[in-house]
Amino acid sequence: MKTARIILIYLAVALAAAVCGVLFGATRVPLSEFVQDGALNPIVELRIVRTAAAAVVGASLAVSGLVFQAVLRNSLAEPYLLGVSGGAGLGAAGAILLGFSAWGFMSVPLFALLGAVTANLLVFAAVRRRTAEELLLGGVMIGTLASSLLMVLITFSHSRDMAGVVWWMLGSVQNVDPARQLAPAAVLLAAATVFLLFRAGDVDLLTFGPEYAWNHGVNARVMTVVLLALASLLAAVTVSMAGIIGFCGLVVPHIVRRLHGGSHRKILIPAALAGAVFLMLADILGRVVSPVRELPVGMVTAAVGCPVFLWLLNRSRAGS
Amino acid sequence: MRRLFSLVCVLLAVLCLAACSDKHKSVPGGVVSLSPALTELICHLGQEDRLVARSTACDWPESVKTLPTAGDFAEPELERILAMKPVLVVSNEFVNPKDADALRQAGIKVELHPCDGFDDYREWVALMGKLLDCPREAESELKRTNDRIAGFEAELKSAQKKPLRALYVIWDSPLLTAGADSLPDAVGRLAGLENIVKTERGYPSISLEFVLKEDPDVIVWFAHGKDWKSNPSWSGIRAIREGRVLIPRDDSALLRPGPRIFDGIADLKSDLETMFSGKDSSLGTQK
Repeated sequence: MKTARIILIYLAVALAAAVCGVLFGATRVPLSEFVQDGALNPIVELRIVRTAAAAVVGASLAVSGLVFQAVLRNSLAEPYLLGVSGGAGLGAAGAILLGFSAWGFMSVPLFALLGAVTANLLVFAAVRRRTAEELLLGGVMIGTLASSLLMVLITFSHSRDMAGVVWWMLGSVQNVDPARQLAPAAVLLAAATVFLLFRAGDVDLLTFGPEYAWNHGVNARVMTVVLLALASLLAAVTVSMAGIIGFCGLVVPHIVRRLHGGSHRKILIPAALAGAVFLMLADILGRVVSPVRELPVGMVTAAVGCPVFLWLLNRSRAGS
Repeated sequence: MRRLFSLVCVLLAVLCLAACSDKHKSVPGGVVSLSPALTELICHLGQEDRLVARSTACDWPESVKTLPTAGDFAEPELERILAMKPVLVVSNEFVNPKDADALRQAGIKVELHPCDGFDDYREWVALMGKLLDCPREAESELKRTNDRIAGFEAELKSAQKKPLRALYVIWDSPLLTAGADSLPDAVGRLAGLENIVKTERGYPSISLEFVLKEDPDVIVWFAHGKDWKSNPSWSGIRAIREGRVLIPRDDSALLRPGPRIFDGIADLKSDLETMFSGKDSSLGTQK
């Protein structure tokens, strides 16, 4: 199938998911009540923002996962590998438990972003040779250290604070600020996608190994660092916005790659759109299944992503 | 030599007496409270002298702050408690249930019972009366409790007003609220409020969409130190836009099932009346 047609199909599905995201939720809002007294119904407004947030977060995680899996040539690679989740978790928990969350709504996301970026920089600073394998190991080490420090903080926390940290670690797109969080994240996603489309050939070459890429005129070491830094930044921004949402960055690139092959120019936009659809549907499910309490979206992605992925894996093996 | 020995003995005896006269000294018969509400109750029953340690959360009355701490709320520091040799440890729960077994094995009586409402409070008062051997004080507190509750109920009946629909915010992000059968729910009912969360129990995390749909008349803000104005997601809630957010004067009096709870309810009731009669426009704004 031609790339344009694939993208059009994914776009149509994404639009349908977005419409569902606005139509369905914890409560029933008739179409006639979408606009009240000339203004948008606050419930609809809330749904629009969270659906857009789910789309941007899902797309960012899928793109980030796609890059990680390609550059590290590891099917288990995911957006949080280079210490992003541990660092962001530590930053957010630090802000909540040490009382910085009282500074305002943006304090926790900013501390999370700071934690993620710091963990990332530590990985790049600590690893001397910066090959894919060493960065991967460095990331695991820094991530583990950050997670241990996070556990220390949680041990000394009070129950109310702990609820905030735990909820944040499960991920949610309910409390996203459209101007201060969603808009910058969308701009970063767009910029990253354009850059990756231009360098998709380099990404393809890197999947065959650094030597192969080098022989074909790509500065493999520099490109590896640039791509991993970009993918980590995408993950860091999403984590600061919506907490730690697992599976999306791991499962979606796999599925898209299995369906449409390995050319990154062909699968980049479909992967982004599939990530957006996956998270929008997970968010709707979390809202509809438990209307009052609402399931954290990270819990839904894990519950849905795991069996779907295993089914696809077994199906493709049986086919081959 | 004999004189010197006698002098040393006298000095030691004086030192022992001085140490024993310290009311917070660990003495046989001492009590450790790991719950702020129970600490308040023990003091209210006139048994403060029996307290040998408290939790870090126990901060009322002011005088208990001089007591040594023996852990956080519901989290005992076992070694410290064992060193104090108390006869009784009281708390609403233990984070680690095995801690209670460890204390019991050391011969310490451990009383762990929840205190989530007025019935639980009455049970604790009766139990404390027996455990601390102060039945008259306990009886008097039980009578006061029943009288105050009856008084609030009578006021509500005579006012014949429709209750205000309230959301109790315990934490803002995630939105943690007090559900049905929780203490704020019971307290609010006596102050003339009706909880919008009816199907969920305890302290659930609820969705903003549910709050928007329920459209509460008032928000009682227990999220101490959190700014409700800075979260853009909250701006869609009408009570927030119209400034109907009430920050209790002393949230510890309302969230602790202790002897001060009835004064807390009276304050809450009075603040609600002021807010909805429009006498004081500063109410409902962030302190």
